[in-house]
Amino acid sequence: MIASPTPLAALLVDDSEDDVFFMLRAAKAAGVGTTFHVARDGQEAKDYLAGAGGYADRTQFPLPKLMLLDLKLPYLSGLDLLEWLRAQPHLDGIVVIVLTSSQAPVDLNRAFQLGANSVLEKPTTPEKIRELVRIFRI
Amino acid sequence: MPVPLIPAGLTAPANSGVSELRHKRLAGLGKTVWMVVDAQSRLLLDPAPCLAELTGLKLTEVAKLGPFQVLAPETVEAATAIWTDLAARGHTRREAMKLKLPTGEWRLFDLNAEAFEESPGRHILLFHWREVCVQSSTAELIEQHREQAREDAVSASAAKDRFLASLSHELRTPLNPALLLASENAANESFPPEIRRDFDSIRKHIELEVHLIDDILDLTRVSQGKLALQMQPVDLHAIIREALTIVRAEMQDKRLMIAVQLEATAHWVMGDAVRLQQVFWNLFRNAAKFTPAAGRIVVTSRRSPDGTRWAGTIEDTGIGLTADEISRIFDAFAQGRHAGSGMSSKFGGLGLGLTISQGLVKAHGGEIRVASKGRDCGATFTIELPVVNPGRPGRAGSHPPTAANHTAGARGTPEHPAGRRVLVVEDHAGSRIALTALLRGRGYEVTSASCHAEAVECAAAAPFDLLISDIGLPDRDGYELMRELHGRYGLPGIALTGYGMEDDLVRSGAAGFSSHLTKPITARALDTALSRFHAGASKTKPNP
Repeated sequence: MIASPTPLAALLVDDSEDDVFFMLRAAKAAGVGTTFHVARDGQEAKDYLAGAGGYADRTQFPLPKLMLLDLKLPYLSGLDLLEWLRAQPHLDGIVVIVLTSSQAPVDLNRAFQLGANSVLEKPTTPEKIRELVRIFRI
Repeated sequence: MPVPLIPAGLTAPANSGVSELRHKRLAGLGKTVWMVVDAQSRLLLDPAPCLAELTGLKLTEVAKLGPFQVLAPETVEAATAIWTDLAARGHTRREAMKLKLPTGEWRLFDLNAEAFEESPGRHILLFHWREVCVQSSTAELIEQHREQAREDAVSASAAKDRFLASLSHELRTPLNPALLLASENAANESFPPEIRRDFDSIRKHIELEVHLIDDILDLTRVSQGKLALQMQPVDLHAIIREALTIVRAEMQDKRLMIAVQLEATAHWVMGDAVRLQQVFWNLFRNAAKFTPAAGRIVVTSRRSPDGTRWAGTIEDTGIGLTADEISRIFDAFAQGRHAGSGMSSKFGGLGLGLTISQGLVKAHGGEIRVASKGRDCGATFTIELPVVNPGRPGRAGSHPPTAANHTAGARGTPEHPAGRRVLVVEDHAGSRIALTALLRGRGYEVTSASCHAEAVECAAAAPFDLLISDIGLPDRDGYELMRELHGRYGLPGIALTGYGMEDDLVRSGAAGFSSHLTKPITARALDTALSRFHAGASKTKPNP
């Protein structure tokens, strides 16, 4: 697959260093040309999305088209962040893919009820990322 | 003056020959042509005066003849059939029987005959017949019989409905205690996980059985246009998300990728939330069922080109459909060959889901279509529904509560204040015992009764806070019980029914039940109803 000409913004929300490392590596291998911004907790992700605090500059911190969201996060949980996001009309249309791992089951039903678009199991593969990017036309 | 002729040799005294019973029956016949015949001698006892007019004979002459000689000697064959029916069933009905009159003329009659025991040991036969349109043309005759056939079909169809309703009731009743206990034990954390898993498996299979029963009932309702839809503005996207949660575990087990991309900005329709959820649930279930492991299910929505409709698609990478299968896919009992012969055990089900879904979508003014590039090329189902108000009634991007959300809203264990006195009325012993045990386990004080009379006694003897009653009780029905106890003691109630019919819902509300559970019920459904009751009780105003 050929990389998109202009890099698209994605927000990766995960507090695990290892998981972030593997996810970025798989994304890079997928060659989807997406720039990932990483938030380490739910509150940070919320600030980023709201353009609050140090994230006001949208050229440096563009609104993502895609958010990869771990549900187990400090300060503000992934489900709470998702619920908040879906109640912001001006943030409509951000594709949210919930990250899961077989070791730590999460309430995926609740995530879908709140408007999650898909689920991706960690660790993931470049193929899976490409498939998602294609389906959601990101 | 017509005098009943009693031929010599008959046992009955002349005076008691005409009994009150016979008078009553004859009075009911009015102007129909009739005759009374002795069952043993087959002699005519009592001919109607108009018999003479019909036959063109004098009444005294008529009275000398046997019942079929009155008509014609040529009617022997028909007469034999009549005697056979009378002996076997005690009555007969012949439609459009061609009989010859002594005048030599052929005419058509509808003939009825019944056997009576007029006095002990004395049997009489009452024949009455109506001449079918003496002057009528063949066309009229055919129309008359067509009308009769229509009436018969309507009454047969009504009989079928009643049969299905009672069949559904009979099939569900034994599932009730089984489902209650299995769902309760599956959630019981004091049991080891493997035992709970077993109970959960039992629960799942009972629920599957219930769905099959529901499908059969739904099919008849859909095909007869008898669906009672509770229309209100509903958010299709919320309904889709909710329906998805029901099949998600199954999808996860098969490692199916689920992608949901609901982009239609107008996603509110007038509809029945429960029924629409059933449609999507059906489609999701099919997609999960017919897609091999590690496949993909993509759900999307958009606005139709002209902006008046919401269009959703469910696309899978499953076994797909041949052109032949596509042409029959919405027909009842027509699962494709893939799902049918030889492989039916692999996929299961009755093949009613899509027929029902199509009926439901049509009832909402919408349309459902399927496309597939062939075997193993996946399938795409498209549903279109007219949107209400292309603007949006709710806040953009939010998920206002719908019935779908509401039912799934009760999570976790509801808190029940102790000391609640419940009267459980249920005639099915298994269900009664299971329900009583569950309620006691939740800290309720339970008294149980098996019929209306016993329940009324219990209610008179001690005060209660809540009635949980079956509708089909052996002596009087649960509606009546509710009305009485509500009227007398202001008691609120939860209805249990096995019919699963919409009429029941309306009636139970009217009788004063504040909620309604369709059997078989799960422990969770019971908890939801109980917490709704407590919420209503604490607000002093009962929930609608």
